[in-house]
Amino acid sequence: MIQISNLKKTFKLSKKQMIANGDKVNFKTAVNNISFQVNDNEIFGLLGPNGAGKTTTLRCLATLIEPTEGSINVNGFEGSSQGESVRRELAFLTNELKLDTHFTPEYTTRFFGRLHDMPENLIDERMKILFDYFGVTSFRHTKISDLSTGMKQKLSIVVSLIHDPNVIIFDEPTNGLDIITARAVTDYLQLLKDKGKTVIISTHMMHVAERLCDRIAIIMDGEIKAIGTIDEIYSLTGQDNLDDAFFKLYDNSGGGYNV
Amino acid sequence: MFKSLMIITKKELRRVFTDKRLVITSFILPMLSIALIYSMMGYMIQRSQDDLDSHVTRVIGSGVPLAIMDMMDTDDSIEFITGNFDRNTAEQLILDETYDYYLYFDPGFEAKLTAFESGQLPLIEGAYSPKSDQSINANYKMRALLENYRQTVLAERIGDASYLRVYDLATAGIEIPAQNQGIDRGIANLVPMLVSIFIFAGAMSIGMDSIAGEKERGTIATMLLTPVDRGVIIGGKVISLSIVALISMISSFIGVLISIPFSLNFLSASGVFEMSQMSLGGTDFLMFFISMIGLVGMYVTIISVLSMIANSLKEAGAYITPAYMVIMIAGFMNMFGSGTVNPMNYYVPIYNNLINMQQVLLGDGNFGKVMISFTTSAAVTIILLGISRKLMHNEKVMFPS
Repeated sequence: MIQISNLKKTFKLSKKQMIANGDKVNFKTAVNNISFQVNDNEIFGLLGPNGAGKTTTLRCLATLIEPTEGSINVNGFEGSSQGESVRRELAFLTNELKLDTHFTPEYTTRFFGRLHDMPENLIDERMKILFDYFGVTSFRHTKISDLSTGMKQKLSIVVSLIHDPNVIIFDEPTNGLDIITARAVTDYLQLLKDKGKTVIISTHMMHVAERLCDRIAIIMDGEIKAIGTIDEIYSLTGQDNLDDAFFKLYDNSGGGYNV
Repeated sequence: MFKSLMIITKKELRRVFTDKRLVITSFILPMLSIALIYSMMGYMIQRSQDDLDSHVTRVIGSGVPLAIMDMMDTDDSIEFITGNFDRNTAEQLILDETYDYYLYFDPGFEAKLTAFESGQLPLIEGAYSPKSDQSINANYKMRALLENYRQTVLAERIGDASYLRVYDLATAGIEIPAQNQGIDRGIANLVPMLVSIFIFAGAMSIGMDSIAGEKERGTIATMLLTPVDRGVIIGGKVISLSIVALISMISSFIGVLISIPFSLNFLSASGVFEMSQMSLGGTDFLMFFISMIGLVGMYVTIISVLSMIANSLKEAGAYITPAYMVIMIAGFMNMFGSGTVNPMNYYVPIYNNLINMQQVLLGDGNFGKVMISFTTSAAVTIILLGISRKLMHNEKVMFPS
């Protein structure tokens, strides 16, 4: 279970950034007073436009960066003081994280398994399951530099899941994947949920969120604008699909778009 | 922690040793290029010396006394061309390198010499081209020849040449005890600088790629998601880099050894060096190795800190190049320093290790001083490691965007 309470994250701005913003304020609040809970056996979706604060929230959750205020608890471990235990519990996948292209999928997966302190036989076992499921077996000995974007994405998923984590955080999990692999990934997330795992995904693909998520939070300008089940979001916004619900909230928050 | 450290170290080493390009550029190319460059330099210097040695100096002159002509005649390396050359024509011929030297004697030189009136000494003028090595060499030859002539004239004037001798001078180098003999002074001065530069150069390219490159490519962030302390991650990188730097340094040194048959004329002060003549013992090698390890630790952590601060490989290069220059300056300072060492210098990081290496090679190594320097180096290395660890935890450094 994940518990995020009053999460706030500010970044100090450089003079260059201040000039670009045309502002004298020397910090930017990326996330402000965010609280939510994600339960075991649940898929939770974070939806929001670019720069809304989704990635910052997930980075804080993965202990990559420290919150300015608030607390994060992952399966009983405090993010601020028990970072290593938190990281042992979770898988975090984002486009920003890359794998060394010099190695093969087999070596890379084994390397990360070892860093998670897994015994060799367990690594072999997990590798077989994940390689088979995501179709990595056929290119397990090929250098990553020679793989296609989709293959690399599949491998990233495998690497993130090698230690059989209890909490899975995927930032845009189907980005760059073909329709078949994308389906395999979402099905696997469903499978993980059924196994009692806690899953958080961040996506801008409303149909993915609608199909996959038990609950969602819509985040804009660093704040949660709506949180609940899909039906609760529909009733809150008076809409009958997530696209319209999202834009309703977007308009209410003062957002607009130019075509 | 140790297990994770080893896993990361092994991965980093695997990254280097399974990459043909890295192996070639870090270990083979330095060896080959150094062997080639040093051999070529030695060969060119030798060829230039051989040219000078085999060259017959062509001297022209006016009013040259017969005795001097006879002296030139007996020297196979000098050819005297008689003729009436005025000074301007002669100078032009020397500048054109048609001839190497011009000798001019006062009219009636020999008569004035015989008459000898104090204060009215006859004049000999010589002219050479400072642009031509052969002409410069001709100047040395002619000065020596004229000095011999002077001695002959003086002996005739006094009547007994032995009057010219006022004492016998016998100087000899004091015999140095075997344990302090060390190796050739020229090599002892040069080797610490080469070792220092080779270590830094070896660690530089791979260190930049291993840290700044991984940051730029986003691969280091993936490791931050594992339950491994960030200090362990940087520690693994530092250990592997140290190993790589040492191997690269050894490879470069093999290059120097390969070049020795050709390069001794500029590497060694005496021009002679044989491994069998080396009188360094086990303790000397141990002291040398400790000094070297001190340098490796500091260089690798300096490169690590600068690579961490940088957001890209290009930026890392811009930060590390000035550090490389400082390392080179320290090497040159030690190479051309005077013999006396200020005791405080043994506390100056980098420079102290270079002094110790030099002293060890000269047979004057002191274990106490080596350990003082090593302790200083270890302290600097630990501080820099601490800074690296802190930087790994710094969000602005690790996630600048």
